[in-house]
Amino acid sequence: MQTEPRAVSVGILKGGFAKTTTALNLARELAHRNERALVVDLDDNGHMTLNLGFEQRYNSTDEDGSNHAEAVLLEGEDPREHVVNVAEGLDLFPAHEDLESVQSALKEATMGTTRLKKDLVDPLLGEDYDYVVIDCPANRGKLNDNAMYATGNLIIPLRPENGYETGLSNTLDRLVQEAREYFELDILAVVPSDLRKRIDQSTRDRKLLREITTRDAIDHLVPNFAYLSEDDWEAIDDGSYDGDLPGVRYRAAIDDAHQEGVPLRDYDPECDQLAAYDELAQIVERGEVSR
Amino acid sequence: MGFDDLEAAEQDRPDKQDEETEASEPEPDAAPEVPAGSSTPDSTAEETADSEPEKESPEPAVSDTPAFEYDDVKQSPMYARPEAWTALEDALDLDVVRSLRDAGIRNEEKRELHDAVLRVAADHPDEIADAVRQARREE
Repeated sequence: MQTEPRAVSVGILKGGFAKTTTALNLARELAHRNERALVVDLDDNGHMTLNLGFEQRYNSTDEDGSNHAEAVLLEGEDPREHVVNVAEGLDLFPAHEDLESVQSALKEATMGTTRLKKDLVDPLLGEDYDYVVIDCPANRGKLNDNAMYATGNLIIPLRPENGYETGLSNTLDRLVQEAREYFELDILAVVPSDLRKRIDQSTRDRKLLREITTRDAIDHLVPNFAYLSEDDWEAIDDGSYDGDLPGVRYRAAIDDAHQEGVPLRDYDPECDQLAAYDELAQIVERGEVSR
Repeated sequence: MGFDDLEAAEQDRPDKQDEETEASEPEPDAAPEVPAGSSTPDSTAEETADSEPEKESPEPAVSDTPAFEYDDVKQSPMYARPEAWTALEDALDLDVVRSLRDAGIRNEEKRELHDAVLRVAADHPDEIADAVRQARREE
C-alpha cells in the first residue's frame, strides 16, 4: 500500500464532540505507526495544550509581547522553534491563549488564508513529519479557513449528543461547501465517539449511527469500526447480530487518559478502542476509508 | 466571505509564492464501481487538463465557464426509480465531480452533468439494453 505524507484537520463547527480526543489519539497512532507526526492545536480554548501540560507555552509571550503562533503565522518564524514533544514520535505545536488576536491579524494579512500552509505545514510535512493533524477551533473564522486550506483533508468527529445534526450539517454546508468553491477539500472520515448505548432500541446512539451509515455521500466516510451495513441493521433488529459493537466506544481509560494528560496509548496500551484509532490512522495514510 | 483573500490573490499575486510540488496530493482514485449506464469514459472530457494545478491560486487548466448557456437547455422529465436516481447522484457526486476537480474544474453546472450523462448513455446502447433485460430478470 502506497502511502504518502498527509495533513488532516479534525473539525466540526460545534464544541463538545471529542475533537481534541480524536485529534490527539489519531496523531498518537500515526506517530506509533510512522514515527514522525505533529499535532497542531489551533483551538484557542487550548484544551489539548493545557491538558498535555504546556500551560507555560499557552500563556507566555516573547519580549515584544507576541506569542508563538503569531510569530510563525504572521512574522514567518521557524515553527520548529516552538514545537514540544508529547510522546515517542509525536510533537505538538501548542495553542496560545491569545489565538483570537492571531485570527484578527490573519483577517487583515495579505493572503491570510494561506499562512498556516505556507509557514507551517508545507515546510514541515514530508521533511520533519510524515503526518500533521490539526485540532481546529469550533467556530468559523480565519484559523479554521487556514486549517482547511493547509490540509485539504477533514475528519469530522461526532458524539451522540444533542445538536449533532446541526453540527454536521453546518460543517458540511458552511465550512466544506464554501471551501470547495476555492480549493479541493476531501472529507476523509466521519467518526462517532463515546458510544455507549444499546442500538437495538431507540437511543441517540442508534439514531446517530443510522443516520451516518445510511445517508448518501456520508455512509462511505464511516470507518469500519463504526460502520453497520443494511444487513447488520436487519440482524440487529431481529436480534441475531453477533458482530462487534460500533465504536469509538466509551471507555473509562479514554477519559482517564484525558484526565492524566496523555494519549490513550500511553495510558493504557491494552485498551480495545486503540484499534479504532489505528484504523483512523490508516485512513489518513491511505487518504480514504477502505471497506 | 472567508476565503475571499484567495481570490484576491488570484487577481494580483503580490510576490509569486514559490510553487512547491504538493507533498500531500491525494492519490488519483482507481475508479470505483459505478452503476451501469453512468460510467465516465474519457469521451466526456472536453480537453484533458494539464496535471499540475497551481496550488497557491487554483487556476483551472480548462475553461472555467460552463460549456454552454442555460438558455441552450431543454428540460424534459426522466422517469426512474428513486434508487436509480440515488445511484446516479452518488456516481456524479463521488466520482465524476472528483475527477473534474482533479482536472481543475470546480464550477460544473447540473446542466453540464446531465447533458454528459445523456451523451454517454447514447454512446452505450448495448449496456442500456443489458441493464433493462437484467432488471426484468430480477423482477
